[in-house]
Amino acid sequence: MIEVKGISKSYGPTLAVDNVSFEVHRGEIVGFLGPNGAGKSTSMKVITGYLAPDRGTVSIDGNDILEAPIAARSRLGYLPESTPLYEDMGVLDYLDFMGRMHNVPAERRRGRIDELVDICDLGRMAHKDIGELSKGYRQRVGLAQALVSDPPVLVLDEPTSGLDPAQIVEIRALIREIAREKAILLSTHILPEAQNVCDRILIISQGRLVGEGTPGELLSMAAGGEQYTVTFKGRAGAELRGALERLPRVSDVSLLSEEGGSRFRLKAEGGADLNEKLFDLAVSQGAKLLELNKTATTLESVFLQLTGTSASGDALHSVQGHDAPAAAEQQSGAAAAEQAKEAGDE
Amino acid sequence: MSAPRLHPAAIIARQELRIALRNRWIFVYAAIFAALTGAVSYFGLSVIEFTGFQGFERTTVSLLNLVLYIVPLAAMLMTVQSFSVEGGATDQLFTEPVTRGEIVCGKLLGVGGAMAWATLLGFGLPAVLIARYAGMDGLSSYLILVLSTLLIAFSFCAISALITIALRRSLRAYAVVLVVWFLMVLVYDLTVIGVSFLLSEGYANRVAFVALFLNPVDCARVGTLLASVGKEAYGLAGAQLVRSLDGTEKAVGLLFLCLITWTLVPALASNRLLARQDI
Repeated sequence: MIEVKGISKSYGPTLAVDNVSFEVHRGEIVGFLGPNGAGKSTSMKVITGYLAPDRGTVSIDGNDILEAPIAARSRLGYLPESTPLYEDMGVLDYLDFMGRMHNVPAERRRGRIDELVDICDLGRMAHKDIGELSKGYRQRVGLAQALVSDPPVLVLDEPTSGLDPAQIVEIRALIREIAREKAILLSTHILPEAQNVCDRILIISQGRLVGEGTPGELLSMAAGGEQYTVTFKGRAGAELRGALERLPRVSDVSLLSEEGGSRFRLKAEGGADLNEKLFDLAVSQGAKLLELNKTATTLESVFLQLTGTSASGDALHSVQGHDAPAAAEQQSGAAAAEQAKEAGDE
Repeated sequence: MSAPRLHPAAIIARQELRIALRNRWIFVYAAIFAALTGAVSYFGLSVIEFTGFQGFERTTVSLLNLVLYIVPLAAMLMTVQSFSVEGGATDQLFTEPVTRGEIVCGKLLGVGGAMAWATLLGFGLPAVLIARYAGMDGLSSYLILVLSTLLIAFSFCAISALITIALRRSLRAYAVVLVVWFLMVLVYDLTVIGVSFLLSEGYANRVAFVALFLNPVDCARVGTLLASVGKEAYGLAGAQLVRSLDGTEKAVGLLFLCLITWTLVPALASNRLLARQDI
């Protein structure tokens, strides 16, 4: 449904998006994740045909966005980040306008708008001007306009941006509800959102894709990086440290403190479960085990691993063929490009 | 069978028109226009201690300069507002199944339609009073003024669209259209007169003649005066134009054609520029 092949986009000398490729299939919600200035918005603008790529192609439901832009855009519903709306228009008038733009026949348009007012819970606001609506309701109007032609492809740029927690839950549920028959590309920088809503996640950093996979795949990538925090009492820290370092599949042992017991942090290689071994070690050393905590791997740690380390130029994980170290070489090119564009725009 | 789809440009024009008509500024503009027209007509002869509605012809002449100050400014400011991308609503259009040419065309038609609506209202209401109290004489002059007002509004809408698209951001566009208005409406004539003084008579005539076509404000001014009160009313360039075309009607036609060109050329340039532009 969405096929992106090798798109690149520069603003002047700076490369904002570099050779990005991916696909989104029907019935799939794909999260597009990246820190600010990573090239997310530029990629979304290229995908929706708002910007022309310097290289590469984008196909929406089989229609090339440059060669058949009208056909491609007519199969696309887009919710931009800032939910741009005509402030002086009424909600129903605006949805009617968007329906006309998408060539929704008059006899179907009325029914479709009623349906969307219901789905997006806009009933109480339907007769108000958009300028009078709260951020949450504007977001709903934005979502409703993206859906008005019932397009097979949806591109949602930060759909829960600026919403309160209750509204976020509702909008996420709504996105999941409509996802069954559609291909949805959802840009976000909120990690739990990507984890909860998306079937697959693309991580972009400095203009390049540095990670791709299901939330489970991404989490398992970071497995082996789990950390344990343990506190023993009754033996000297130095002795315990030596014993811990001798344990199989344990690394990076550090003594955190010796007040009220010896507190250690250590890393379990390959995601090994160390609970039993640590308990046995306490028994064998004649020490009391006061604390045993395992820090679970989160998508956040994967994200930081993939994007944070790239900023410092360290080696990155290569996931499903994406060459993350190459992204590191770019330094902060994409961020600089987006900043340059913003500065130029001001 | 479903009704045929309105052309996308017409859909956008309808939307722009609706937005403009929901915006109170267009009513303020229409009201000011009507009040000024009524006031100029009623108090136009107060210097000779006569108050009361003047006829259409005298009102036309009295109103002309006022119209040429106000209309270009209002048209340009409204167009910048419509074409600005900061609000984002224009941004959204670029991702809809519509070409950029249709967006330019639709927006210009919409803004131009709103200006036309306000202009007709502003001229129409006082016209009823003038007709009631001063009679119908000179109505054709008044209608010529309405026509040239519409043409000048469309010209400046198109010029402003080109400026806004070229500059991309509304703050810059507002600043530049104010400068353009100042130059075209206030400075241009003084410059032409100043240059003419420095030249010999033959060259000065040619400069004045050519300068007539290089500014839509002058086209509208001379065209309206020629059509209303004949070649005696407006100076050298107008007289020369009438002489070279062998008739007032042809001269007026050429000037109004020039005004239409001043609409079409910037509109086509806007379309071309936007089509090639990364937003």
